[in-house]
Amino acid sequence: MSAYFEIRNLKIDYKTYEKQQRVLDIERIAIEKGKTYGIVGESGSGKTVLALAIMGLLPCPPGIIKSGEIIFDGQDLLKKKNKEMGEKYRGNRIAMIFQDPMSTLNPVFTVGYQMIQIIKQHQKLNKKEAYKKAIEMIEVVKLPDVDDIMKKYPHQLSGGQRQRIIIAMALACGAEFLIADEPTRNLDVTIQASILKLMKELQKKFGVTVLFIANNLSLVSTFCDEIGILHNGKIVEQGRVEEVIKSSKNTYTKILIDSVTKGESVTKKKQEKDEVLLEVKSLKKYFPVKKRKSSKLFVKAVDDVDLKIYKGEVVGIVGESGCGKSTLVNTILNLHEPTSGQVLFDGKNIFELDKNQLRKTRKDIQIVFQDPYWSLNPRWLVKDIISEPIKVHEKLNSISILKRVEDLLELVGLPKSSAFKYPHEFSGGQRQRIAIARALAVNPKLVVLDEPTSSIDVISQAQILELLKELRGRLRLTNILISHDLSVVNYLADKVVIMYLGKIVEYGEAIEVFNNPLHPYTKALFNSIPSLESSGIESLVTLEGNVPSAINPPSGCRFHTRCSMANERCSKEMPAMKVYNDNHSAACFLYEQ
Amino acid sequence: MDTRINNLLEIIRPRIKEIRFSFYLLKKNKLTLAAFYIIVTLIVLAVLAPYVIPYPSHISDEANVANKLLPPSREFLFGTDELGRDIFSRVIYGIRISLTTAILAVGLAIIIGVPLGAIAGTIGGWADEVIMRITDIFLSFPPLLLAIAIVSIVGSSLNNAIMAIALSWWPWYTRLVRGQAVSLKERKFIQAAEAIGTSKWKIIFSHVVPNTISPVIVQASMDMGGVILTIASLSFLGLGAQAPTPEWGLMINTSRNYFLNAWWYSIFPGLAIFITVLVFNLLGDGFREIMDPKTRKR
Amino acid sequence: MLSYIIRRLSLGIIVLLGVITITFTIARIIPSDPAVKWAGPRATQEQIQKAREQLGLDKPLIVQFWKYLTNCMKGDLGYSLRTHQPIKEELKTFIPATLELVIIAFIFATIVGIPLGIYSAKMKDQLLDHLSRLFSIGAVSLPTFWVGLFLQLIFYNQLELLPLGGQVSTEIKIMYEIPKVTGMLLFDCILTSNWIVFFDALKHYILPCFTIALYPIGLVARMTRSALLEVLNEDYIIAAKSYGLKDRKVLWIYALKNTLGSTAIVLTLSLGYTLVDTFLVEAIFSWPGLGSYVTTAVTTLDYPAIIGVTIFSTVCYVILNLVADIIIALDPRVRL
Repeated sequence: MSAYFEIRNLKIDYKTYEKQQRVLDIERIAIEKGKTYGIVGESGSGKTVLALAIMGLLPCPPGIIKSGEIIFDGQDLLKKKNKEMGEKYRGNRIAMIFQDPMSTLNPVFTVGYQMIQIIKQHQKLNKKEAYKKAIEMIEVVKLPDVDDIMKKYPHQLSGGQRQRIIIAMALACGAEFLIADEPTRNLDVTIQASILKLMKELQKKFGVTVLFIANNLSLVSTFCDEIGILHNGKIVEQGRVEEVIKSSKNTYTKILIDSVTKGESVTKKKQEKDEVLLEVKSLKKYFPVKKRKSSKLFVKAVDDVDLKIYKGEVVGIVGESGCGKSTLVNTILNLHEPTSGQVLFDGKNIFELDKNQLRKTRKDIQIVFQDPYWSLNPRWLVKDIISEPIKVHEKLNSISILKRVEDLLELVGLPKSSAFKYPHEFSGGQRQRIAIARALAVNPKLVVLDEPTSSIDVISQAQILELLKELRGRLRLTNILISHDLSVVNYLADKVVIMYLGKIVEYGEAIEVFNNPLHPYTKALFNSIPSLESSGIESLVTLEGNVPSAINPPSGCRFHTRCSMANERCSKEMPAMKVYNDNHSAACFLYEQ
Repeated sequence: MDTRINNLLEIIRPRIKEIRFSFYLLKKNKLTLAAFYIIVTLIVLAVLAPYVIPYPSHISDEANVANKLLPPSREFLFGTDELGRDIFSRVIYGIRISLTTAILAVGLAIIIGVPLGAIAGTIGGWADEVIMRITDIFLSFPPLLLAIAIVSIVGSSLNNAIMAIALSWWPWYTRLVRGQAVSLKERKFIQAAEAIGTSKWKIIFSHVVPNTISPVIVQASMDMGGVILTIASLSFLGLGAQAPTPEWGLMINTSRNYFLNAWWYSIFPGLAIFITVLVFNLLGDGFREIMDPKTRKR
Repeated sequence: MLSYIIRRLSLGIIVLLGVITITFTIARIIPSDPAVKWAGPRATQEQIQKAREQLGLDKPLIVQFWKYLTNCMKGDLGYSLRTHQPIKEELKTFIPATLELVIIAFIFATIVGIPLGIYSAKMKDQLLDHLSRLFSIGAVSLPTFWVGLFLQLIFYNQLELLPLGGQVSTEIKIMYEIPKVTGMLLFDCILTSNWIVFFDALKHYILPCFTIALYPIGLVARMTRSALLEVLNEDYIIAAKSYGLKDRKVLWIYALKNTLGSTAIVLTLSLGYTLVDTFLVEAIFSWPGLGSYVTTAVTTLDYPAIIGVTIFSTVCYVILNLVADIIIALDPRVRL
């Protein structure tokens, strides 16, 4: 007797140029009815292939299903014809939630039309009944103004709303088995928490069995009863969540667990001198809203920000997408003109420099970007990439440049021979090392790290973090670190800046902020992120409503629309940054006294 | 010295791999491969034309009235024209004319269009606005019409036809490259170069332009067919090549006076145009598929 | 929506201004003196001078341009150097015959080309797909003028089935009254129920129409196929299938609407090609249309006539592009 859902000996190959490669090799996964099974795997581990194979939507070729069974409720799905899968299983009994809610919805039809199409496909209802049913489902996923939403096109909804619609579609026809393939990948953490909560609630309400796939161990372990760790197409370890986490046997699993728990035991040394390197004074950056008749509208991406960065310290900037952290950094890098305000670097306002001085500042401020695939010119040799800043800023002959490049490669832990290779010959982690070498090439005073680890695999992540830490000690670098991953910030940063809707809401020593967050937003942010310790999805804090638009931000405290502690004053007055103790300040009326 | 050679090999190796991969993809599509071989043959014929044709003197206006308008025979494979010249020799020599003119026209269009597109896409702002509006204006002429207008007024000659075609074709490259440049800007290496302090021109010509080469090559290979067709059309209207140049369009134009009793006169040059344009179109189609990142990923 | 259309319209006006500037520039850099041509081959110096004044060539360039511009706006395209008639009037007599050919070709491109592209994409890599691709790539590789000649050889010379050229046979022209309402012959025949002329004309229409329609059919089929295949690869198509929607529905409703924009662009582009192809084909079939007018103008170096036709065709093309843009704007993804 097999389980409700079971995969046995599934072997799937992908045919590529030159060779045929095994991408999935699963011995057994069994899920009991009503349970939640989570698969943790990085990109390329074969998790999407698995999802598509279950749905019978795997493109063949290039995919080849070599052997195996996918048993659902006593039936082998791999033996079903496409037509039968479509009529009896897909959408009807098995449904899927995809990664990217934007590309999953058809852009040229209204949400209502797409809902009704799906409902009519599986249930014999007339138009009116289908409409009613659609509305019912949208209400189930807790979206307000249902009639209005039905008439909207996907691009008119926010990411969170779209994902709710997709969940509604998946459940519209009474699916009993749900595959969720990274359902919160492109969502902000606070929204992610609310979507996860909704999914859990609906799972209980409808008694759905869920196969949850994601790359984030904390997320999966918080959401699921059982987990399986997928690595290079194989389940390397599986079992009940607590067992896997507490007593993992596999090395890969251990690295995964380490990567999310790291940063707790780090002691931060205080910087030696209180010498200001960079000072941001009431900086504003507004972008005009395009394609409108009245061009008086602005996106207030950065609104009145003050910040001091001392020599030798690492400042982490944390915030959800749209909070203005990237704009702030790009303005500091002088890639944007500010709307008003100053950025003093070494005492000089970088916006008032002449061409020569600007070049010198450019030399002193370097950046490492998020995605090393996108930040290295694919047509250039590594030596040319690393020496680009050298050629711009220093006059050296080609032999000394090459020598310098080789030294830099050694510094970041790559062999000298890498100089004559192209970026595509390296893995993500190695590419990020090249990017770091480039940033260090002209001995900058300040290096900006823009999500330096978020698009590389877990094992390299740990190594890159270690490298950054080591380089920091050796070169006494000043860093600005942007990251949405709090463990990374915790690991590297001395100080933390929390941003919300273009404003700094909290600032202080990293240990202080992490252990004793002041601002309600900071608290919500920290508690909405699942961790290995969180006891189930219900323990996560969610924020009501969407992030307000930066074009027309709320009056008073920008967070008051979503703050549970807000009172009348918050909607009228803007709280100023107040120092709470030594090095910890927040902009909230709660701490006025 | 040894390391230098080694380094050089290291640089070339991935390129060779890339080319071999392209060949592998090419081979998967039999039709494209066939087109590729035919084009290679055409190029060889074009280069060797004066040496392989049976009557090299017949490409001039040398008259040999005794042999005029003879049907195809063993002596004259494609028959003869009104001046008694061997049509086979002229058609083969025509490959040379069509290929060189088309390459010149496309090359000229690329030289004008690519830098403009790269500048528009990279710098943006008013430069983008101005360049793209000019591009719009040129693109709003129906294809071929602008070329007809220019040549008919400047004067009919093959060189003018080439220039006129380039003048009406460059906006396509500007558009293409601008789009590429805009999406390249998303790629952070452009921003990285900016943050490093690399100058705008250096960014445009050493970061942006090299990364637009593949789509430009695809576009160029797809345009070759269209340009050959356009040149033939212009010559057919009397606006391109002038007698006695053995240009296919011009030959068909002349043949109209005799075509009801000398079918071979118009048929063979036309077939030559058709085959040449067809193989370039096939190759362009194949190239597009090969260069498509979606195909490459597999 | 309205503001978008207004923006597109103002952009269209800028483009037209640019077009007029370019044509003016071309006309001005002409090597031979238009006044000499106007006055005729045996004109005296005095006569040439008079012609120069008459044509306004003695005024500064900027004044000439202004006059040219305002005249263009009024639809006044100047006088033909050959016939000394207003070009506007001459165009009026030639346009309908060309328009009729273009419209018929366009209809064929739409009703044959689009379905061919759709089925080809649907049956990707099957026999039908291969055949349709081969046909369409062949169609866009054929020199139109040569196809015309080839068809004449077969259907007139060998099979003696169809006439060589012209719109109607000479004897019909003599014996019957040729209806003239819109200037489009077939259409006029239907309007006046003149069936004898209609069927005779129809025979004359077959070859030119087929010749002209070939290119747009191939172009539209190719582009429709690739646009549709691209859409079929999108995530939302896989998602739609995962919800259990029938393949047929996914193709005809979910995918097809997403290709609307690109189809509109292709159809416009194909019209542009057709228009100019007509010029070549008309020359072969002695068709009394714009093409014959242009070819005569080209051989007699009648540059105002050439420029006139260029401006007229470009204006039509700009308007067509505008229509295509508005169709694309119906796509909700285009933010207005």
